[in-house]
Amino acid sequence: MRKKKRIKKSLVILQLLRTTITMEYLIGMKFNNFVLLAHDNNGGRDILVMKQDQQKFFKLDEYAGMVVSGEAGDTVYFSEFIQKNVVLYRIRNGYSMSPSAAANYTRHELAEALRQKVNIVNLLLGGFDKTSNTPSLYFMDYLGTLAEVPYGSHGYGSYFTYSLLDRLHRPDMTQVEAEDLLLKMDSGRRKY
Amino acid sequence: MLIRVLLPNGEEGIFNADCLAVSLLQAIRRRYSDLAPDETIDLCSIAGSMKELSQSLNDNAAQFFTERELCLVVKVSGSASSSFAYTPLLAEYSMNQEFLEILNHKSESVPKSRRKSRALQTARQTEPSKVEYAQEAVKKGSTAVAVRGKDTVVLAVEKRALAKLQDARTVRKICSLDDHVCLAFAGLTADARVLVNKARLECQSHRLTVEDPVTVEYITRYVAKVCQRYTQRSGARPFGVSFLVVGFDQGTPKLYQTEPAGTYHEWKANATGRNAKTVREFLEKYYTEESTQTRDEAIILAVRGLLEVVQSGSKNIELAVMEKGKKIEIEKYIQHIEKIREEEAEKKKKKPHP
Repeated sequence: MRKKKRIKKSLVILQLLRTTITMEYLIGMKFNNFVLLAHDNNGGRDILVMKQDQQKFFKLDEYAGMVVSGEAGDTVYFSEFIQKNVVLYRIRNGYSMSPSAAANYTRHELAEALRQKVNIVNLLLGGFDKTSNTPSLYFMDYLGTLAEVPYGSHGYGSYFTYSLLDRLHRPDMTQVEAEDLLLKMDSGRRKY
Repeated sequence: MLIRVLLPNGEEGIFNADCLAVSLLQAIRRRYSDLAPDETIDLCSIAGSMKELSQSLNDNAAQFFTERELCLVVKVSGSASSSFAYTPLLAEYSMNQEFLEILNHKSESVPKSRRKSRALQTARQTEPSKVEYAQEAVKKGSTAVAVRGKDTVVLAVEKRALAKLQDARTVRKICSLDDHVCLAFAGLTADARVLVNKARLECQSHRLTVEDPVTVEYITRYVAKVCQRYTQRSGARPFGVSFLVVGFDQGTPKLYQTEPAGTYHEWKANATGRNAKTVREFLEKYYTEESTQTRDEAIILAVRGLLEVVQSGSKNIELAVMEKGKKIEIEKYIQHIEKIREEEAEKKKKKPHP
């Protein structure tokens, strides 16, 4: 009986792992004066799309925000939890969490959850630090990985975007140029 | 059981003590009929210890005496609330100062068991409860005033004079609980800090679970609930703080006050802390719906109220204003305060003139 249970659990995790490299698509790009975050609007499971105006962006108080993908309920639950805690920090201390602080806090929560429960949440956190006047972009995945990156992506589409961004991304782009670049990524994504 | 009683006329009578105390006293009265009927009598031993039969009339008299004990008849005057005064009815004893002292000095003459119960009685009457101690702590705290206007809520607190080397910014008597709720307090600062922390957490928790900001009443009720819990817990003392919670419930301004006991009420304008009564009387006199229509009028009312009890000067007053739809603003009204102070000073100058 015990063996069967173990096999079942691992099967469930394998299924979930599959959904992590999922049909959902996130992209983030950092430039000299701003950070751009984008997400696809599909909400559903794999090929079954139930909603086409899904919001995946969560504002973290005044100077940061994140786009989230992964397991349907986990993403929203985790993101709202982080959101409220970032606001609580500001109310308690009188000043907002910096994007770097917010990113490290989010990673900490991800890492803690990793061995408590199955929590499949991948995200890109972008922000603008008021004190140093610099933008920052952080890549995080469900295993608790944290990396500060010039550009990042989640989902099957990421296989295509990285190569494109390696070639086309320049930190000194304007907002208009950045949006053009985003559209290029999107067309690249559509090809698969 | 038989006892011997020295009657006022000098005779010694023998009485049966195996009866109710009231019956024994009645028997003594019958034997010595010179006593007025409304005079209370009692018995005491030769040594001066009162038997206090008159306070336990329905008890068996035998328990108060030993076999063949010699007793005196004593007149009782006074009542339970003031102390009793006993006068022996025998001349040679009533003249004896030492005896009188022993008789009326209850702490020595009362038998141990009786002494304890009486001590407990007095203790229960006069000892303040923990909640009352907490309320005393609030009365010693620096004053805080709150006024609810039409579209504005104002908090004004007295800033205690700081030591020279102390950084003024670290003393915060006005705290925000969320973007639309804030409070001022009077009492123990550390207790306030704990409660404010809990309240802030509750505000965000509420937002997380129901996707709505708290109403002012909800968070006040939560704080009051925590306060009350500590008034009933053994080993813990109540919080010695009183809060003035202000905020907006979707555009409607609100003001609530909590107390250490765990109660809360809604107010139009209120004060707490030292001299709160004076400020409240001032507010009762001058607060009307019309007088607090605009933001400035509400501010002026609050500051004037505070100036009644605080040494005038912008250095001693901290002000916070919250308007409908906007975030709280602190410390921008120094000019207002200075202006009001000048007006008040002028009024005082004009007073002596007829």
